[in-house]
Amino acid sequence: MQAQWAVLKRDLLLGWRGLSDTIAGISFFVMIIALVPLAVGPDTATLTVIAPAILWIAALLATLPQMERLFARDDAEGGLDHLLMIPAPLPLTVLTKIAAAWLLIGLPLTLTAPLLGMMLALPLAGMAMVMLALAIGTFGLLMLGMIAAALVLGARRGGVLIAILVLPLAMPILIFGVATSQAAMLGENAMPPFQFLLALVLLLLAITPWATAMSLRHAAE
Amino acid sequence: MFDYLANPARFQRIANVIRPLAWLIFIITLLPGLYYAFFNSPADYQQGETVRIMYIHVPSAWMALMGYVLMALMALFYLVWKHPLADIAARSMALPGAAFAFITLVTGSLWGAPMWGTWWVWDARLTSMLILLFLYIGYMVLVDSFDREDRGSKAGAVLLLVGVINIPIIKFSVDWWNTLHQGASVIRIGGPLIDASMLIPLLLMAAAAKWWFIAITLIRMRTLMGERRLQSRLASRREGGAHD
Repeated sequence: MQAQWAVLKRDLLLGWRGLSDTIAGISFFVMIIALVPLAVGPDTATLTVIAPAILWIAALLATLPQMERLFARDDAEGGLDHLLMIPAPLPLTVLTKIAAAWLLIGLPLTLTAPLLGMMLALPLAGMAMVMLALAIGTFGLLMLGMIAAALVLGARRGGVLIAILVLPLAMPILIFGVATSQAAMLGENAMPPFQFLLALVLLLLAITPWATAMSLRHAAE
Repeated sequence: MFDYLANPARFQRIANVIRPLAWLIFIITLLPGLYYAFFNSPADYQQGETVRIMYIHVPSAWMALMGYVLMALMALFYLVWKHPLADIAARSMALPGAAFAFITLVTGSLWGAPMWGTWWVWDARLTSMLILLFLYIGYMVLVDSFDREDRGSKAGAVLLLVGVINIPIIKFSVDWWNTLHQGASVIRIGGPLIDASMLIPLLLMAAAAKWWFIAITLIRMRTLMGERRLQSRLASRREGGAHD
């Protein structure tokens, strides 16, 4: 347990020190969202209809460049071997890293959603549900990113590869996340798509620690 | 049995027997299959002659799914039992499987345009089939992105196992979700729903697709195994030369 705490604190500290990276991620999120009304036109009726979709696509695209960072620094500095030498099970350590990554990447995105919703004429009704869906959805996306990042350690053009691997698998999260947000926005029952989203993320939670641990062991050989 | 096949030379000897047999079975199932499919089976009472796309579309879909399942099985063999030929098998099956997935999507689209009035619809079955195609492509890109071949094979194997969840989603998508796509009519509890006059050509075409897949995979495996032997000979020659 102490080891997990140490890993968490280290990741958060590194994230805090590299705050420019986190801010860059949020800026990317904001910029994508700002571009859409410029391209689509300011008609609020149109914007309201597509707002949930844009929010989610922007969240997905904004988290993609950051996934490379998840393991690259550890790999470059030899920290990977240290991770493998922690006496705790590697899947547990991976889970801790996912938690740290979500606090650094997913949480800021979720918290800025209401603000950006204003830019997209997203009504404030159901915003709590939208934020909850985003929080869980970004958690799922980060888990996918973690598997992909571990898989491409040592590969050429790892960044592009992560995108190719993550985007197809992220489609269901996108579909149900947008469905949840749309239902919440319209005041309808958001539970069915939300429960699907939750189920997807729980499934990923069951797979990710072990798949990532296996990939990390292969990478360290 | 799989231990028996682990020796590459022994595998190649057996493959050299199976491969011409596979081509033969391919021909003798393809020719009557095509004949029955295009000339000697009934046109649909609603769809007319366009129903004949089914005889290409459905076998391709079955092969795309079977290809991925086999690749995932090979991935399991490679990661868990470290079978030396499993990663070669997986790499060999990737392109034929992807081709079948692509053909499924294209023939489905060509069928949907006159039938449903649309070239594409984002329902569960089509979307999950598209995801399957992307998984195939992602695998092919991933395994060749590493300098060391075994790293690529291991990464690809993990990807295959993670993506296997997509297969039951594809299969059951027409039961679980509201969809334009037809429900399960052949592989279902209670037996096939379609008449023998259409079922026989369908099964013949499916058999033809399967044996083509087997023949092509064996050819690709032979090529990959030859490349590997070549690499190791070049490597040992380089090392041997350095000692002079």
